[in-house]
Amino acid sequence: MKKKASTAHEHLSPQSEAISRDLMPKPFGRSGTIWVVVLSVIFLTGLFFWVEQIRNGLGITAMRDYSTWGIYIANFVFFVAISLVGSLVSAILKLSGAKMRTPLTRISEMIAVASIIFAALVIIVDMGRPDRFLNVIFHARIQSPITWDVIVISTYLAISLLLFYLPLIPDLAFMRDRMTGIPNWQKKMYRFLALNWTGHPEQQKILRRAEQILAILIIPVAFGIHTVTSWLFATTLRPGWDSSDFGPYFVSGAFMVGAGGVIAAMYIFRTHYSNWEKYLTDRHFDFMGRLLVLLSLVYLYFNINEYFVPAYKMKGGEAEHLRALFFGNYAPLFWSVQIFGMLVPIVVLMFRQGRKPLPMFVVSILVIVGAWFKRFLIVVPTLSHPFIPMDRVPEAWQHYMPTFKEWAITAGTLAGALLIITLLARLFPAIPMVETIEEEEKPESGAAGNISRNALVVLFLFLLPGLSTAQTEGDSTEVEKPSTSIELVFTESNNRSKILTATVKTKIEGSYVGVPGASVNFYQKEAAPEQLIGTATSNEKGVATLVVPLDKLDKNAHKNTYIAIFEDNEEEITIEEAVFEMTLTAEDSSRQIVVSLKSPDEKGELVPVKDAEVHLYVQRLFGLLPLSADPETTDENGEATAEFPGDIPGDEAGNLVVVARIEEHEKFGNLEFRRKIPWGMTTVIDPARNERELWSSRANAPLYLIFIVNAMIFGIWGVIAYIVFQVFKINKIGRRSVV
Amino acid sequence: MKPTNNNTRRNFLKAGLGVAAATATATALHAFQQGDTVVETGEKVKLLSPEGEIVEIDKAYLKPVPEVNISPTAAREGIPGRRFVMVIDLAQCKNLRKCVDACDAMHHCGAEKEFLKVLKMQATELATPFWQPTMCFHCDSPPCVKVCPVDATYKRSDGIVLIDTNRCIGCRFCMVACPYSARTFDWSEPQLSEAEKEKEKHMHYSPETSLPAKMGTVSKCDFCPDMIRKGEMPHCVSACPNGVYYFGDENEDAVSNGSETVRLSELLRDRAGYRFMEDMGTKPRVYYLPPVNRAFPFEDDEFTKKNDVK
Repeated sequence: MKKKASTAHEHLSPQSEAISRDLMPKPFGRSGTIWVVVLSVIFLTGLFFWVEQIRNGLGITAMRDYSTWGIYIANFVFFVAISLVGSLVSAILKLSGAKMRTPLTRISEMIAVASIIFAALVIIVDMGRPDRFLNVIFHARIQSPITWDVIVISTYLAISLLLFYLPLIPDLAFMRDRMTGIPNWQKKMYRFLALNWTGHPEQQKILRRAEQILAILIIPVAFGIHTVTSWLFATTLRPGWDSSDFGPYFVSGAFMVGAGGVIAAMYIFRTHYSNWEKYLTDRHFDFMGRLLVLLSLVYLYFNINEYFVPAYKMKGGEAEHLRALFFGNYAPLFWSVQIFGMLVPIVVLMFRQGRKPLPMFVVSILVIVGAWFKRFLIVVPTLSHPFIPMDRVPEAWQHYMPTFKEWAITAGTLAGALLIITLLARLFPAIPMVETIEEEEKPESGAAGNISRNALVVLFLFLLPGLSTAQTEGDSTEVEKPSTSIELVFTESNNRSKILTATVKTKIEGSYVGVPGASVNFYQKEAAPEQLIGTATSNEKGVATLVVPLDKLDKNAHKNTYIAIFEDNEEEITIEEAVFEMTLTAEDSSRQIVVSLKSPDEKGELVPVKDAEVHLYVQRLFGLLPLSADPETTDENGEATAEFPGDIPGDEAGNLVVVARIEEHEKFGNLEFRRKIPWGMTTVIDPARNERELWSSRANAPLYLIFIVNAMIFGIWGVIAYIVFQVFKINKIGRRSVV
Repeated sequence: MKPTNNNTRRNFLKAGLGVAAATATATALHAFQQGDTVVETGEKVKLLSPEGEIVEIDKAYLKPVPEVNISPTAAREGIPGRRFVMVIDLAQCKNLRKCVDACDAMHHCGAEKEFLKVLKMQATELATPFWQPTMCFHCDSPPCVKVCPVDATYKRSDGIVLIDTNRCIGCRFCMVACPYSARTFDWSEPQLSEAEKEKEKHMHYSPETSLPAKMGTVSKCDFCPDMIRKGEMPHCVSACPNGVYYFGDENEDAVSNGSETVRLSELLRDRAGYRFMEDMGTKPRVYYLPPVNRAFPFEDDEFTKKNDVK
């Protein structure tokens, strides 16, 4: 044994000497070294692939647009779940006065600290842009459950660290005073962390009080952390997640796997360190076994609620999801998890023989592995059953099967968490020393149990390689020899502007497509260079537009001929002069639009044009809205009258543009008259964007949310700050009493 | 010399984009506030006002607008006074997939992404199947926006839901929250054709075009606000030869499908318009017209899955 008793400032009984000898942290032995090396290799392999993932993106995983969350998220939920053990043992058992908890507290806090750290890391691993991680702080949107999760995880981490550290202070002082033959840095670290602890009654009092406060504080935070984590799922509309009892379902499952984690760790420590069966006795295992049965029964109860109730109803999407779990491709995993991860543990632990250390260890491994795959079953199948059919997506997208790299990264995080626990146990006593000694010196002793010597069962994760290959389609289509055409349309607007529109089209794959960038020449009278009135280039739809320069036209002519030419395509139209006008009359509630069409005769006098079809429209953003289904027809005065409906929205002032058109008239081409009139309904601009809604921007977060979240942050972190202040006080008192 | 008809000019500027189509210029007008000092060049440009008047405006009043320059910050504001809405006529859809091709081409979707899907749907076993285009529904109560932890996806005043991929952290909570599976993710570096690469080289990122896409971020149908700003309809709408898509402004109570413009309220009333999965409470801005009296018989296609070429 490395440990050598030194001259201490207090005298210990031989019994206590033995305890301190047993519990002092020891250097790794042979099996310990192998354990650390294996874990390090797994961890570094994961790290290696994570670097690749950062470089090449999440494409190295099997996650795709439908199964957009996979084992990373399942693993995250698992870590959060198992971290709840800290609050279970340190807080709930402590407050309920369970005597058994003393040797369990440190182990459970180690598990809690390690897993909550890795919960945070795993979520970064899952992020598409881990480089932008700080956005969740600088651009935090208080409406998002992820923001709540960030807040509650950091809070839980802080409290867990304090709950690990505070009860450790007396042990640190003990090691500072009594440990020899250790490197200087280790000594310095103990000295620094021990905060001048002398065991002064005032220090004791402060420490006890701080621990008590933390024990109370961590319970709501622990419930919070896993409830909020369950809300990452339950706040969505997806079948299987859209459940109102997800919070307690998750919390109960978390306590169960947490208890399983403590049992597994207890067994490993007990078999690994000599004499530890005196401290982690069969009675402790029996106690934890009973606790695990209780927690498993609660979890069973929630499972029944979670699966039976929707299965009774078999509602649409839920039915598809449940069928896949009960009978479909997830059924083998689902029933294995439910039977071996929950029912078998309950049955085994019901019996006294089942609560012996070795069967308990096997059961706890079942519970832990079952719990991990249960998270998989919560996350993955739901996403494989979206509301809209997964039609026309690659086969690999429909069935999520994690890739080797994905498994390796996940295994790396699990190994990393175990590594943290191992290193903590290497540096700090995994069973509180001073507390055990104090309990020992009181007239009460723990019964010694039988020693179970068995080889450790090593947990392997199945590494399932998944393949997803993506190939791009080579596409070659025969292009037919294009045949081009041109169409020419004349439009006169408000009797002033004459516009020529030529549409150049070509036949591709059987349908006509506009030719963009075609340079179209427009002529009047004949296609001669001196008659050129302009050139225009077609837009992407093949439309070339020219505003006819009026000074180039013969003012006395009542007829004009226009020609559009693009390469060897030519079209010619002849248009007669016309006067097309719109007037408005409003009497009482009747509002009418009167349109008149006149054309100059040979003498140049305006003559009404009869039987011309007049279309009336209102200009809308992307087109002209007809005022009636049928066009109006001009009478012998060349006039057409139409009632203007009173329910057409205008702009904020009620203005809208009315368009009267004569379309494709054989003589006049297109005639158009546009006029802005104040006859529309005033549009009330939707003020919704300034509302404080859950979907609003961070600047418009609902006030109640801002209030609640901030009150919780300030309340809980206020207490944490108070505890930290107490830590400094302990240090101060120690310094004073040493002097 | 100021333009003679000041009133006309201002109204024209207000009505702004979308109507000045008759003048084939690559310029658009920026609204000038009264009191802005503009040094006139003396060079006049003819433009057609929405009232059909040819107005002459000094060239100094025109500002050339590059193809896209709506910055991520500016893209958070909607187009003023608008509430965009889409209506999809299921009776007209025969799965020509022109909309999908246009959308893929404009958004550089490549083989892995699809902003717009045409799904084979069947209400019950006895009912004939039909084709249903789906995309982002730009919900008025968007579950995706609710859950975003960093304000990367947002709802604008014009109803459009966009994503700022400069902000997105890639947590994919929005994809999980969207019940319509409308969102896609760039799992790897986007695979682009040479032409697309060349085009993106000269592009500034804008949430309004969703281009260039970035690895590790979420993207989806954006209702093509870049096209709307140019007075044109989203690519899927203009690409459809069968007039399946209607697009417009709810405030104007009108939607167009390229060939006709109809009143939104009448269309939805007369054709029994509905929204997909109304009971989700998401209030989509995309409506469907039921696939009754269909223009085409249903023909299942031999379409090979987009990315399933082995």
